[in-house]
Amino acid sequence: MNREEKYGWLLVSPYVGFFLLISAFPIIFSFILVFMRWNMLSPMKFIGLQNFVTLFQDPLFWKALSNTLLFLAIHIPLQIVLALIISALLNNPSLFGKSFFRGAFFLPVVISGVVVTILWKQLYSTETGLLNNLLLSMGFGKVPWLTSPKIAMPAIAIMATWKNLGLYVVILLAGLQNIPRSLYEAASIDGANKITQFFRITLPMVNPTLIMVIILSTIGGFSLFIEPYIMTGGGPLNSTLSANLYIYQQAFSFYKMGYAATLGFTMAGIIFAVVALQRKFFEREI
Amino acid sequence: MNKSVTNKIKAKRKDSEGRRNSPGAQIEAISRGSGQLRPGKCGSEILLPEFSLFNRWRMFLKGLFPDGNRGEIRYDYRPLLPPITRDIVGVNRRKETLSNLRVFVANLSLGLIFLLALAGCRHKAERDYIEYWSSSNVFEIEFARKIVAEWNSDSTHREVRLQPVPEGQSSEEIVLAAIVGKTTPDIYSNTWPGVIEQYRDAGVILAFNRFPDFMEYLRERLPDKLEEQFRSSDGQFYQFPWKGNPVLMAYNKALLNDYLNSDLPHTYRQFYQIGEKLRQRLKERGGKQIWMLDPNITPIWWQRFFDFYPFYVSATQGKTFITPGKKVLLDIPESRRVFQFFRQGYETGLMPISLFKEDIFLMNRLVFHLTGPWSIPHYKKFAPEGFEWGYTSIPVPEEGMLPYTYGDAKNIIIFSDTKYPEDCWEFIKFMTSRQNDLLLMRVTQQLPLRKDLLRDTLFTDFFTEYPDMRIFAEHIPYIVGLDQSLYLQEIFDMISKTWDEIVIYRAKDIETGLADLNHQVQVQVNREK
Repeated sequence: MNREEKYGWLLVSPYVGFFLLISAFPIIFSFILVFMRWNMLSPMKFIGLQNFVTLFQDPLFWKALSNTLLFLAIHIPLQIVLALIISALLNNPSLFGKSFFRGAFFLPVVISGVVVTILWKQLYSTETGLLNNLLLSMGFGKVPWLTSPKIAMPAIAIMATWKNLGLYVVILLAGLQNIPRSLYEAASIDGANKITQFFRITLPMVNPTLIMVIILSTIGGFSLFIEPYIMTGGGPLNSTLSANLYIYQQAFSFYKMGYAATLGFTMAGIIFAVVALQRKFFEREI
Repeated sequence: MNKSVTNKIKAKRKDSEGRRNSPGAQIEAISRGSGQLRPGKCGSEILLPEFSLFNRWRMFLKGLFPDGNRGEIRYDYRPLLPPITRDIVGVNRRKETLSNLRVFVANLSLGLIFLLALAGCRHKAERDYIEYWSSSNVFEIEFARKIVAEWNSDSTHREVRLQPVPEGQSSEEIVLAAIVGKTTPDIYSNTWPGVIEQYRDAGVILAFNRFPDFMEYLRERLPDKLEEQFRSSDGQFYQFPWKGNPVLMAYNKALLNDYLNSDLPHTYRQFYQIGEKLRQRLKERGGKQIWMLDPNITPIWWQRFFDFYPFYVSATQGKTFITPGKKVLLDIPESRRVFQFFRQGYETGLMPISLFKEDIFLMNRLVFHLTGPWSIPHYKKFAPEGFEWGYTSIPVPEEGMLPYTYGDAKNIIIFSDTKYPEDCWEFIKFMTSRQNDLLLMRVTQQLPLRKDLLRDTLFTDFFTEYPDMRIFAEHIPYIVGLDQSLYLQEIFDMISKTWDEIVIYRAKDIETGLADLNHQVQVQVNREK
């Protein structure tokens, strides 16, 4: 090892120690827990693959997973479409107050998720919420936003989209601004209208950024926890019970640490598979 | 110039050429306003900052104040990264050194903070005092400070040091973390009885029976009927019954007496007669919706302690749902009546299917509300002018039944690794003396589990000053605790989910739902046999 390498290792040693203790050790420990039964109070008991057997026979886990997939099916397309439209509008060089709009869209991203969720819980309240009061004043009926098993998860998806939209607007805007204007000029000369330019130039050129946004949204969506935890507790009728919330309940309400670790690793595998599929089907070479 | 020097220069040139074309260099070029970012597969050549809260704020602020008038967004692609990644970022050597130094200092600080935190933990064996954790409730902290100061003023006593239980989602989680991390105190006084069996099974708490005068002291203090509730499955007492919060029904005097012209309901039938009157009045007079009762509809397992469970123990006249022989009694007529009582409320619209942030009881939109003595200071502080309220027992299925209810007791435990168990016991006896029970009531407005609360002349002035507390004190002999089970949280989670299905959303009929629930809970309980 030469002097430069030794110096490098010395410089990274505090971080490596921190990483080993705070990241690597919990992951390795969690992997060990997958094969154990442990409630934190009594000693661990080796049970082999029993946790996986329990997982496959656990209807509530599959319900939680399907709820999460439903959330993603609403949240991701909605987020991408809205983020694209808004970033396309913000990409207009002659738009007045661009900085203000960028900041305004990004503001919910930096506000604590708990605060936003509590505010939206009030907005969505069936009897005293502002949304239903507005609907009543317009002559419509009340909507059971968080108390209907059919509507509760879409309502949470809308709220999550509002919260994270700004982040993806900013990312897509960066991608849009790197598309050479000469391509649009050439297309205009050749007679392409705005819509054709959007589908033939903008979308293909912004594809790498779009893929990244989709992947980040997917990973973020799978970690759905705060909204159902604060707003609905997983109800009504388990319709908003997300996979992460279920893992949390198993670990910290019922102290089933081994089973919770199994659920965690299974979810990590599912997320990996979904992201790999997304890259395979949506990614394009430019 | 010799060959080795020439080769070195060539190598450096190649290296710097590579750096110029590297993604990091391109990013640098963009940030200087020149060059184009070459799109790549999946953005893999774009190094994005971590989307931590800190970096999001940086991006937000940079977005507000962009560089010049180009309208481009400029990102700082050099967040705190370990030096290993310096090749990707592509900074020049001087900047690289400075960057590395910053990173090194930051990492060293992290390491030092971590070591300091570790150093802060003192092992129990080194302590020559008793560590006492109280609840984090501000009034209980005040009470604890006073008694600890008085105890410590006597130099013959072993010193007690007070520490409010550290903040967390629930105090049980914090205590669990302390047990796992072996940082438990000697005494903890906010223990929920539902976890006692788990702690006993893990061997982390002491049995009070080891103290020769324990049973005598307990029987002198505790109402007779309550003794067995706090005995563990092995016959010993691992918790000292300290205080209780009987769950009763608060009522809006103006709505009940003036608007509805009704007396207090004692039975389910009388409750719904008033409910029918309420529906008629609202139909005739219109106005904002008013409800009879608003049980919380979130399916969290502990919510059932404030609707289903008090009504269950009232209907069964003081019995819990797991017998000493580990038979589950959830599919019984009394249980069905309780489920039917609440189901009818939701069916008829007399109970709302809604989540509220505001206190609708104080907004005159609720006739009754299930609560405990903790509501007294809350209503006194936040009730609008002219708002009058009272408390009554929860309704029973039939006339003449006794007013049993859930006690929501909080008890005292001694951890088994304490060095001074006898001193802990002496402190607990001091803490639960008559004088300190009076202090507890005055400071916290919570009731000690004491048999002679209303007869003891020491407490007469208190109940004269706080007449609302009297009705709660009258119910102390009728409070019911929880079953001693290792899986109580899971059992109540099952009850909560069934409650959701049968009562609120009526997705299942009562008979089928309760039969399924009974079976599920029996399976859990059988694991303990």
